[in-house]
Amino acid sequence: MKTYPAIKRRKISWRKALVSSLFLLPAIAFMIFSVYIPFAWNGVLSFQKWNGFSAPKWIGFDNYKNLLTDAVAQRGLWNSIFLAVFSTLGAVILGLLLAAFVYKVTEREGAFYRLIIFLPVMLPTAVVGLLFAFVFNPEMGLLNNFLRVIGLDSFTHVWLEEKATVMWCIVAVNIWKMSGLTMMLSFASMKMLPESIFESSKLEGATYREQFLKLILPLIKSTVLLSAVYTLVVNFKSYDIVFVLTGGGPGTTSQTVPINMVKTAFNFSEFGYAAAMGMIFALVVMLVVAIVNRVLKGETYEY
Amino acid sequence: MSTRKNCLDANDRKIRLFSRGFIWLFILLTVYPIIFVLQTSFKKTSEFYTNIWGLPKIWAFENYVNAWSIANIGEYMLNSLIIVAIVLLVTLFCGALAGYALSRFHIRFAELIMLLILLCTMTPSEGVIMPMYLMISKMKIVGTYTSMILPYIGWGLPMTTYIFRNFFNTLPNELLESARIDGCSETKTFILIATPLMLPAIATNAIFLFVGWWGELLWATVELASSSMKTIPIGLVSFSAQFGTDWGTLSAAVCIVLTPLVIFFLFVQKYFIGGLTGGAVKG
Repeated sequence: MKTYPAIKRRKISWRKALVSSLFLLPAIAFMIFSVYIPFAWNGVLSFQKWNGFSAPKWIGFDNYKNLLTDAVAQRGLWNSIFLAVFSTLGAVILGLLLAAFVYKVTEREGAFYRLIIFLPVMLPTAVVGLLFAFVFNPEMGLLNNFLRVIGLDSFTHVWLEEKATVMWCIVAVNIWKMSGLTMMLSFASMKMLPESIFESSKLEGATYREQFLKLILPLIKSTVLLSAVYTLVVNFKSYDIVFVLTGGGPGTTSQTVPINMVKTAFNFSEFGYAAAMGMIFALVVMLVVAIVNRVLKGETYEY
Repeated sequence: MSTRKNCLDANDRKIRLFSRGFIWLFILLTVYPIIFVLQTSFKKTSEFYTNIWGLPKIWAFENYVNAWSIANIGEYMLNSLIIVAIVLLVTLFCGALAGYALSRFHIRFAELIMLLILLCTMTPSEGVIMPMYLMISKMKIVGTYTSMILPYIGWGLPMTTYIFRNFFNTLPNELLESARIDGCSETKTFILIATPLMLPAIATNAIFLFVGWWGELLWATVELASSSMKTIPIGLVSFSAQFGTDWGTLSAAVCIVLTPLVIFFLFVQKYFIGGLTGGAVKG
């Protein structure tokens, strides 16, 4: 009689453990298979010299040492960081502005605007690349033709072939594509703010700009942080857009780490060296994400 | 709403006008390239060179026929649809289960598991694709649907699980407790009570996943480089490399690719906004 409840409790907790591990197991198995195992293997590869066929040779830190003097690889890393940071900055600021403005129009209009502003986020990068091939094409492109129509012929460029313009063009495309996400997320959390918080500030005669900067922005900070981090991670994966728009050109001017990596591994069969690039890149991404988290986090407010 | 409208003062009206102006400008920038491609898709390429801006004089529907047959868009789209559909179903299922367990089961190492999952979301695929390729080729499934589906599921799951967990965290405890008191087991509570409530979270996740995988290019390039099986983005890129100056057919191909996306989005967008406001995506 005395032991009965204890046994039952143990039985329940045993069953509970079984159920919860059954719930967790598939997800964790997939993650181990496609993130943890390959990442660990990548780490091992980065200390080897391997052409994909013969036996891999351990070479210690040589791959990393070579990276220190490889100008092309370093250029790639800087390009990746440049694209990620400026694209994210632009997309988050523009997205916040759009959210602030969409908040001020009527509900029905707003729903329509949101749908359209979010559209580019949905487009596959290959499609975005082709769209902007139309825009940037030097003879037939929208941009140059538009400049000619308004009489600014001297501003026309061979946008994607000139060293001075190519990176900014890619940044512009990234901003165009991603600002809808910040708009959507920020708007959604602005919508959840109670109307009453605006009353006192309105009585004090605060303008909408002041309200937005001092009242709304601090309150939706966690959402802004989330969309900034997400946008950053998306923009760091700069393979697709660069591949479609320029393929890394002219020369290696717009080459990013992933493009360089794929070339090194699959065209030049230097798997170990490419793995080292991947490791450094992964570390840089995590570092930048951590910094952004740190800078934007601060205290959160309840309402 | 109507009371708010009545008390709009001049200042508010000015803000609204300015907002509208700014938004329209951005929308013009967003939509014009798409309209441009849509209208180009109905022009013969010869007409495109003489008439860039205007509507097509002769509607060239054969562009669509050409894109479908020459560029093999139909076949690639089917490949992409099969892959994305399976990835979506499995990811949503596993992610919902894991998210529920992490949020509701009081697991001992829940925090640690969550940390490991968040680390996954921050690991760029660049850090894993090469060994992934080696694993896939060891498994002798290069160029098959499975070789695309397995990694996609694993790469999407961390974010999906995270969003689901946050969503379940916002569900009121009483709702699930009452079911338990009524004698439901954990599994039963999940199926009967939690599942119907999660439509918004499912929609949010589905959109993120669909957007991510429908156009994925890096893994597809590596994996399908020497295979006859192609997904839509790969097909488009190689088509544009071959027929780069055949603007009409190229535009038609782009429009065909966009159609399922637009349909999908119109279906789920109603829930999507709900999912965002309902706390599914809250940091």
